[in-house]
Amino acid sequence: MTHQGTDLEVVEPKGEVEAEQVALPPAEAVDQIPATAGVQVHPGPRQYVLIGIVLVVITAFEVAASYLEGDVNSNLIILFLGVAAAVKFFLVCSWYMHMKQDAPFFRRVFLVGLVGATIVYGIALTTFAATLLK
Amino acid sequence: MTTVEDAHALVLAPERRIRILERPRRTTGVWSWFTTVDHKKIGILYGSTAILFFMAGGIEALFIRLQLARPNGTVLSAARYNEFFTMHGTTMVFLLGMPIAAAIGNYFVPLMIGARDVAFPRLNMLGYWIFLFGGLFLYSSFFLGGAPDGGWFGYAPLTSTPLSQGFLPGRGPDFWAVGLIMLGIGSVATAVNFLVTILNMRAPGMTMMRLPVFVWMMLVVAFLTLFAMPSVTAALIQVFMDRNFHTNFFNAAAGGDPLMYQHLFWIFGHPEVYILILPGMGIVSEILPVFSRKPLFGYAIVVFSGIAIGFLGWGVWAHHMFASGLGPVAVSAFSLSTMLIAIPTGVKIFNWLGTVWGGQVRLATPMLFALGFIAQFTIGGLSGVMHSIVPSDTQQTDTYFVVAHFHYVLFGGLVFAVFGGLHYWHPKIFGRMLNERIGKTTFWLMVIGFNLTFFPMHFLGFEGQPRRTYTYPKGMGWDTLNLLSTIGAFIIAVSVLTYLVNVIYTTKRGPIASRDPWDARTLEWSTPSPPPEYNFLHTPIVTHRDEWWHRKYTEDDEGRLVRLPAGAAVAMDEPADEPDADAHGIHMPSPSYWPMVFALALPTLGYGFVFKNWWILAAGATLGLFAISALAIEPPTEPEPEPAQRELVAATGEVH
Amino acid sequence: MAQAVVATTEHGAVAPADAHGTHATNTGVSNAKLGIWLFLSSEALFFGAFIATYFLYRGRDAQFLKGPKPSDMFNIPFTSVTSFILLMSSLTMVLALAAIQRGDHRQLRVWLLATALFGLTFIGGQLFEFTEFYRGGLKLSTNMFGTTFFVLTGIHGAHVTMGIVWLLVLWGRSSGGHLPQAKSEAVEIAGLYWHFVDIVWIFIFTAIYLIPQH
Repeated sequence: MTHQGTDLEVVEPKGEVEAEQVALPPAEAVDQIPATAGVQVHPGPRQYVLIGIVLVVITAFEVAASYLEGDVNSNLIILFLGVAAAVKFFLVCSWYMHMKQDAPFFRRVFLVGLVGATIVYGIALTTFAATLLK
Repeated sequence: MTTVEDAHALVLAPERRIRILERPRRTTGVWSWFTTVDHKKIGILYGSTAILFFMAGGIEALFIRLQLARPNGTVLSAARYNEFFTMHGTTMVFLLGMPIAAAIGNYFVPLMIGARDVAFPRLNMLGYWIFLFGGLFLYSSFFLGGAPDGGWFGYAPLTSTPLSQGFLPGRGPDFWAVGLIMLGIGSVATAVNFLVTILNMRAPGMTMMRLPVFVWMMLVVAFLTLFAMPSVTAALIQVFMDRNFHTNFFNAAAGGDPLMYQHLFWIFGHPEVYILILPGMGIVSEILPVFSRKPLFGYAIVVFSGIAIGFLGWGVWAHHMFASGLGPVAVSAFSLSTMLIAIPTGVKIFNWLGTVWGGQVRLATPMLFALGFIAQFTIGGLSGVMHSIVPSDTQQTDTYFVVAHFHYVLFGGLVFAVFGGLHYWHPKIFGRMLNERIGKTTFWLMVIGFNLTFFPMHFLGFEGQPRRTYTYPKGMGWDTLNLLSTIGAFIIAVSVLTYLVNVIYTTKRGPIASRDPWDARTLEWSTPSPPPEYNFLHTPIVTHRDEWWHRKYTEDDEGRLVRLPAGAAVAMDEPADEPDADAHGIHMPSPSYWPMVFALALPTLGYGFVFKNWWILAAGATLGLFAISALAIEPPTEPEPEPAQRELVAATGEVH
Repeated sequence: MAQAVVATTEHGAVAPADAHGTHATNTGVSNAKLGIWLFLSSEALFFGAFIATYFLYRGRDAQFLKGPKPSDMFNIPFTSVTSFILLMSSLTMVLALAAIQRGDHRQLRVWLLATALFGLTFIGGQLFEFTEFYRGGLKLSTNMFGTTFFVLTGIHGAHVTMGIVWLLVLWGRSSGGHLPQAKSEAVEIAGLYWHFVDIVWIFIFTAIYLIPQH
């Protein structure tokens, strides 16, 4: 029986002395969790394969779109490709890398690098636009 | 163990079969220094190596000053001069600045947070070996065809044009690019280690807002390092590729743009200067409260300012490029962001002043250095604000005014803070007090020497002396100030010598240090001097900021300090004759050869790349692959020896 | 160790001895996992630099060195297949993780090997593509396209290769009985690295191969 990933956090006991409530997962989820410590509730193989199929389908559409150059406004193609890549990225990150099920901390750490890189290199590139436009 | 398991073990863990590569067990003795994973030993290794490189960089500086003491100097040829100022900068930034923070951080962050070690002890050791080998690799260039000579910033296309087109003949730039990539790997490993340690391994009750400021600064520095190094690594790879494989990254004839190098470099380079200074600010934030007998003024603001500096530091990099033709829009934006970053910096200065104000000030050596930091860093910060104004900077850039600015913040700031920290923590690390009289001599000589060397450079810069040039003609009016500057440099050298004398002299003759000779505030002072391998017999439970202080003192109704009875102050006492971790059931991570062996693979690969030798490359790759696998496979802690063995271990320090 | 039972002595509060094995952490996440996420975060800046460089120089060849264009060289159907294979390797990777998490070591090894094999196929495809381009007159030094394309995809390929070695080592460890269910985190960490490398390819494939060049 596969179990949908939820936002349950089975936290490792924290070190704070002040009586911190350790969040206990509901009984049914506990049955699903393997003996290894700290393992979160994960999707099952069926989910993974499903997502794999979605990824392939999106890729097929992307490839098809790339052949539409000339017939369709290229900005539209670029927009579609950008969105498609983002969706694939989101799917792999959230489900295969378990970002959805794991501690939000990981998500934040990863986003710092991702967002930071985009902003910083983006700014650098715009300075070239300025000189190019002159 | 069954026979099948034995067979598997032999096949898949070849290191077990070879006696030489048996896992080391000693934690004492000379060889243990090569195999240790103890953060304290690693800290001492980082520190002593960094100080050695500091002296190398200092000698390079002395030669530079000798060359510039008179017009038309003949001490160094132009080519030699380029090597010396490049290596001086590279050494001071990468082989002193970053490692000395790693040294103090390594030794004290676990102690300050109440942990027994860092999150990844062998990765920690790996970081040190990469630092040592990277530094040696860089310096080997002097003997292998010439040292790097394109400046510590290595601008393309000067460094990136292929050898055949010969702007910089020789392998210097290759050594530089490859060496820095190597060092960068070590830095990132160490950054990850500090981040995970500080986030995950604090003692119970040690919330983030109870952390010593030094730990907070190391946290911010680790984030900065983690995200800055990749940018410069990319730039260095591109330079190396252009130079050796005729790629076109910075080849204008092909459409390449050297400005992109500057962006990639300074996107690293500016966070780098905050990586350099923030540990110094952390050290000062520890020293001032202790020697004013007052808590840090505005702890939360100091912490948040440090975070703000780390964050804003990502938005100012192009202020190193004001004269490069970015255009008025970009330049104005970066000018504004640069001015903004002066705010949190200034806030910290006021908080430090507020700490000292009204305190019971003791002008011991560490305090003198900390106060020197405040004054001199402020001067450097002010000249920095002058640089943030674009029209001013356009005149100041590439002159000695810039040299004055960054030496005031990095030497007058960081180095003074480091010397303060070294004098402050020496008793804890080595169990002996340094000599106060020599210490004060070191300080005063350094203050005089430093200011004599670098203050004149403000004037020289305004009078037009360009930087990065090996000599200057007579009649420019620069002679006197240059001579004074050179004299100052030699005074600095003398002051550093006094420090070394101090250290050596007190090794045997210094007074034995108690656990808390300064009546300090943070947890590292609760341990014996030096601390045992396991740091704390019992992991402390923290209930206050400045936890150690609150175990010693409370306040009466009138707010006066009242010393608590000795019993409450003594934390986790361990009898002097039982320092052995095992006797207390504490399992520390085991020593290991593999960090050193893996680190050896990197310069091997490095030489392979620089000399384009496939055999050396193959050897390096094989060694690296083998070593990293072995490192990953071995358990962090070997299983305990038998009880009988254990006694033998305790008695002799090695397994029989 | 759930609640810290505070034993008070006259020396002040002390914490109970750490339990062996499970290491409690302040954030509740394991050290190693936090470490790899931090590292991957920094890799975003590393690849970002090369991707930004690619975008900066895109299209400049028309004005400068000319030389072979992407549209001259790319075989989109071929690269689509290799991209598909890399994408599927992410699926096999996560199936490997699921296997060890439920204690199925045979399946773990099957899926680990499959992932490594898919990775190798991808690398093979890359190498084939590189040699085709080289024969078509595109070298590192030919023009900006040659420079940026080969270096970016080359560095990505190097990352994939290191990942393959990592997976094979894990496979070897499991075969030797040294990868018990309790150590499943080792597979998870390798998986995170592998998925990240796949994600980078998602971006590279889209940005370099698919987006139309003017």
